[in-house]
Amino acid sequence: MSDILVVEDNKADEVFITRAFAKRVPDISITVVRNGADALDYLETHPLPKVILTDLKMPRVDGRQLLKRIKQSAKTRHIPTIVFSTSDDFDDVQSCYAQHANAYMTKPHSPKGYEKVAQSLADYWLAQTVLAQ
Amino acid sequence: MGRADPEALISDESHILSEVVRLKPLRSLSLLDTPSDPRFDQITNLAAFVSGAPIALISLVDESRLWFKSKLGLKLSETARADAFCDHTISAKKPVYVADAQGDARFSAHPLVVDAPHVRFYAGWPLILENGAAIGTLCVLGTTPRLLSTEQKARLSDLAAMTVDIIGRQSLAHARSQALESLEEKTAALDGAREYYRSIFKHLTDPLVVQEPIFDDAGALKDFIIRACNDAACVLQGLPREKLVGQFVSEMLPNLPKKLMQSYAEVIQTGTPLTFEHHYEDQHYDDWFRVAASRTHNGSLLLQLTTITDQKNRESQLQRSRDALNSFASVISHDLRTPLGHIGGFVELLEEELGDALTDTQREYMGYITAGVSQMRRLIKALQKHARLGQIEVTPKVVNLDDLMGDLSQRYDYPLAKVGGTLRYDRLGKVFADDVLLDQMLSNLIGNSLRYRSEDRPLQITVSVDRTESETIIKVTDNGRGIPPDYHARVFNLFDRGPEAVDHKNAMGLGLTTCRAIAKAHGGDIELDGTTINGCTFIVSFPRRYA
Repeated sequence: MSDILVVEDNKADEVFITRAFAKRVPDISITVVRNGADALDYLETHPLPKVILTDLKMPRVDGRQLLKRIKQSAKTRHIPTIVFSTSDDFDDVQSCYAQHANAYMTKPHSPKGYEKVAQSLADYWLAQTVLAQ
Repeated sequence: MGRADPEALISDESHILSEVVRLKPLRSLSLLDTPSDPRFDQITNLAAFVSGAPIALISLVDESRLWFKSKLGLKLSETARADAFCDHTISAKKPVYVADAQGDARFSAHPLVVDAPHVRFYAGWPLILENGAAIGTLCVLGTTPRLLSTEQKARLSDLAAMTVDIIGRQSLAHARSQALESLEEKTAALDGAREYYRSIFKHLTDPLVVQEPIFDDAGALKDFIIRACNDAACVLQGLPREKLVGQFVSEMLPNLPKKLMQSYAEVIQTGTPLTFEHHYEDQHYDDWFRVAASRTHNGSLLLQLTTITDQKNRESQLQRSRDALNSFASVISHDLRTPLGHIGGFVELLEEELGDALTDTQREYMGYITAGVSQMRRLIKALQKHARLGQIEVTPKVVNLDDLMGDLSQRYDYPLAKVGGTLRYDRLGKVFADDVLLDQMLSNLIGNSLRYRSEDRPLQITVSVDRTESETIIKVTDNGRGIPPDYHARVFNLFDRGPEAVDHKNAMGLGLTTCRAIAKAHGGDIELDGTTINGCTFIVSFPRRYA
């Protein structure tokens, strides 16, 4: 079972994310899928992850649709789903929270920034927070 | 005469009252001062013949005189009421008979008896209308005493009754002709009004159609018949009036939706007017209409149609360009930033992994890449902000400029103090503007003054307000480095940053573009006063409807 399901279509962003987790919190297991459709497949066929980290703009099923599907399904709606996007557009932020995103984070500008994100995600969601089973 | 005598007063009052009752019907007869009438002359002739007296009169008595509608044996056409025997007859409302005035205590001292014409004989019958008003008399007089037999008196009384009868008929005829006249007048006025409204209906540029509803046996609205339409409606339908009036609406406009018919049925039922926009399409039309439907006095439907296809097209065009702008903003916020983030990120990773293996020159080059990335990131942010500016929404309210400046000077207190600058303003009054946008604009202008301050003198920024009949003008003046004349034309352009600012890293060249967008969104403008020496002045003008 993976601790975090990362939904990210961009290879470069994937590098930053996986590198940051590996460097700061190497014990945490991560699975990366390429888009929302793959994420839904994964959730169907694998043990559920503890946290989902998803990009917004992706081909096929995008982050918004994925978020909607996750939060509509009784099976998955308890999983903290964090939107992780380049966009700081007001409408994007509003609409994600309206769809019950658990948090909205903008992508940092530097590898150090990604490391901080990895660290705080692990600290908050996987250490301090009590999650539903 | 003892005016204070209460009985006299009471009798005066009742006299006035009875006069009112008497005079009103008299006037409404419209007999006074009219030409002689053979019907009345026949009566006076008969009265003279019956009585044997030389003078016979039909008198009408108004407030001050006796006027003779018919007179036999007398030249006068009227006489003063005060002197008249007839006044007695009217007051008494019964016949007065004086066989010999000299022997009659009531009249022996009368001027007409004592002086010429020395009247000796008088017999008068009051003319009493149906409503009881005694309006005049039939009387006979003579200068010698005369006795009337019971028979003579009876015939004279008959003649008086006939006179009243003729007057009654006359009055009826008069009333009829007056009613007819007023009817004619009213009809003419009605015709005029009809013509007036018809011409409005005809010439109104918006199509108007009156439709009579047709109900099925169950009482549900089934269809309409067009009963009237104006020229504009004919033009809209492309048919002459005779081909429209009498037609079934369902045949003219086969694609009218059921829902619309239901709305119309409701208007007819409740009488509550309805206005809505409707897109109608069939083989002849592909148009948008604004429809105002109301019920006429006789339960038909009045439709007023305004073609709004062009307006709708413009609106949707506007919406498309808004959407395009939105997607532009989204492209900026995501698609441009992502690769930029990667460039910067990987440069950092390379630096980290290569570590000491990097030469100083290589490290310098990488520094250039990083600086370029930061610069590009700021530009994108500014561009994104600008794209959003295109959609400024102004929510104006009364803003106290002095309060606003108070806030601003607090905010700029520290940066100003750091460079020894001052910000001055004094009693600016109120403006009608969007407070948030106004704040942003003034903040940009003050920020500009700070950035382009002169190192030679302490910075001084002054904000002042002028008001003309049509505009409120806010001036922001500083004593900074000013703007070179050849740059004036470009100063509001997007990304034109101008001569090197003192604090150039924060200058994105967007501040003034924003200011202009804000001013324009208020229907105003901003310009640079080219005449300022040793500094610069920005002049923001708002139309007075806003400020």
